[in-house]
Amino acid sequence: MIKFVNVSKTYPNGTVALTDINLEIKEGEFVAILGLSGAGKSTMLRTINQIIDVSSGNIYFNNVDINTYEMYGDDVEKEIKRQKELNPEFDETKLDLQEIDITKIKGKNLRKMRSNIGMVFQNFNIIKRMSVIQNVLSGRISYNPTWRTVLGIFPKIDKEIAYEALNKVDILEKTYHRASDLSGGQMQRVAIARSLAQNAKILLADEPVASLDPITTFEVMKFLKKINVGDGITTIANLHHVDLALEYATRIVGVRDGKIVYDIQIKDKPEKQIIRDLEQVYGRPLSHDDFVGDD
Amino acid sequence: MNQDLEKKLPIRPSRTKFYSNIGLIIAILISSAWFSGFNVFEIFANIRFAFRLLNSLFFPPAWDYADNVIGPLLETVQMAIVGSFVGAILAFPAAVLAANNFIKVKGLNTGMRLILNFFRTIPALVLASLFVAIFGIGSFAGIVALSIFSFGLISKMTYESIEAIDYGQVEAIISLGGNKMNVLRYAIIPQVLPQYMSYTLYAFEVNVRAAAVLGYVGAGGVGQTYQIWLDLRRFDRVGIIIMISFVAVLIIDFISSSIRRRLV
Ligand SMILES: Nc1ncnc2c1ncn2[C@@H]1O[C@H](COP(=O)(O)OP(=O)(O)OP(=O)(O)O)[C@@H](O)[C@H]1O
Ligand SMILES: [Mg+2]
Repeated sequence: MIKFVNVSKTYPNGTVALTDINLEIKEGEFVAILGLSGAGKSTMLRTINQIIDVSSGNIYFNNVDINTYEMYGDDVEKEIKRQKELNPEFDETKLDLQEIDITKIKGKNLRKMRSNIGMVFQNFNIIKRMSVIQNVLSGRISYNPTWRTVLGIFPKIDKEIAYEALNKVDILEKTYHRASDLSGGQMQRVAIARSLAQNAKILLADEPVASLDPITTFEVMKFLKKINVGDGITTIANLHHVDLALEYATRIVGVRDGKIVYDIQIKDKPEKQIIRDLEQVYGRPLSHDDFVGDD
Repeated sequence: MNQDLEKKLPIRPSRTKFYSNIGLIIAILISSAWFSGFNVFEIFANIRFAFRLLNSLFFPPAWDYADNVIGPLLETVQMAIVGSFVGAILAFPAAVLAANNFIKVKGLNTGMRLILNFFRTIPALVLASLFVAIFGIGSFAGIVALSIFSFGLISKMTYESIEAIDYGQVEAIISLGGNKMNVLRYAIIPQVLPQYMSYTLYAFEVNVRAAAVLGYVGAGGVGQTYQIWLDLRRFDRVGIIIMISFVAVLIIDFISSSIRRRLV
């Protein structure tokens, strides 16, 4: 679904954040990116939707319809079936699926590519002075003309999509609340609902639970897992806690000094072994702080 | 104090520099007072005159003229309202262009800032005399002057607020596939709107005070009435104008600043 080829990133101030990243992520994976602070995890995540541009290398997405820039992912048949359910007049013969290098496109096409890729952040980044429903509707901006989004008048179908998204993360009862009145965990659920409303095929999560307490942490992780499994949304999450990665992810990628130094499918190895391996990634023994709960 | 401690104690820095600085400041004050012709004795010599003036201004107040002050005073407030409103509307797009975190074109940001700073440095009274010369005597010249003055004030403060926003929300809207207008509407405006409104109210407060004086150069409002009676040496009427304007400004300031407190 996503393929990094020799991606490097040097910031304008000379900091080398990524060196020669090669990585392929399949549809439906839940990838946890682990590594010390400053290793380059956030940079790597942000190059995927080009919030940060790369200095060299390419990031490919397969099976992108060149007319709409919609991603059909690895399982094209499944996506076509889903499109037909959404729109009975959907015509698959018009599809022109190609591999797209997101580092090479600009403007409107780049924005269309981005609308396939949701993002949630450590500090939620929802619009605090707007209501919950307005926040989730903002997930629909790329599907509407600018005048509508500026006036904030969304069609009925978008509202239904938004309610459904809120329901999926169990927060429908907060629909008309002001976003600033929510707790941290609820804010993050609104952010996830926004990505669902966006109809994201890929979800990037940059330390999604780092500012939450342990109980809320597990709650939010469960919702991420639920949409990963239930909706097949490919998820890539930077995590600080090893146990969260082991419990919720399917694959761990270890980053150190801007390079990928570790990459395993969790089911292929016993947990104890992985924890031992991770000491190499971190370059130090693991401690209590690397786990959310001790159980 | 014990001997050891005294030995360890560093040498006390000389105070000469401190005293010489104070001496210098006093010398500057005295000489500038001298050169500007400010003389304490003159104040005392004229104090009798000052009391006579106060007496003719306020004792007894010319209540019978009070009704006639309301009209020009309302005109002053109207000038201030229209001026801050027009200024605010023009200020927002200017502030957006000047902020270096929205349109990241250095030349445009700097150019815009130069223009804003230029407008900000011209006092409202100077603008007013200029526009009286262009548009003739009357409140229109005053309104144009206040609009430009408010524009400078509001745009400067607003662009600084825009640059101080939480950029994470901008990233969120970009990651949704949003364009510049979406970023403006969903990430920037919600964050700066309360401040922007507060700056507009602040400009209004400043404008009311400025507008009261603008009439003096013929730009309409209560200042113009004030100037007429001053020329005719009708100090009682000048006095009631001052009194009523003073109270009006106080009330407006009070209301406006309590709204501002609630905004941010
Ligand atoms: N905008 C920037 N300009 C310059 N250097 C940056 C910028 N953002 C990050 N860096 C540097 O790039 C390197 C990688 O940063 P990055 O934020 O990707 O690390 P991270 O793994 O996400 O760390 P953390 O766990 O603390 O979030 C660090 O050395 C960081 O200081
Ligand atoms: Mg980070």
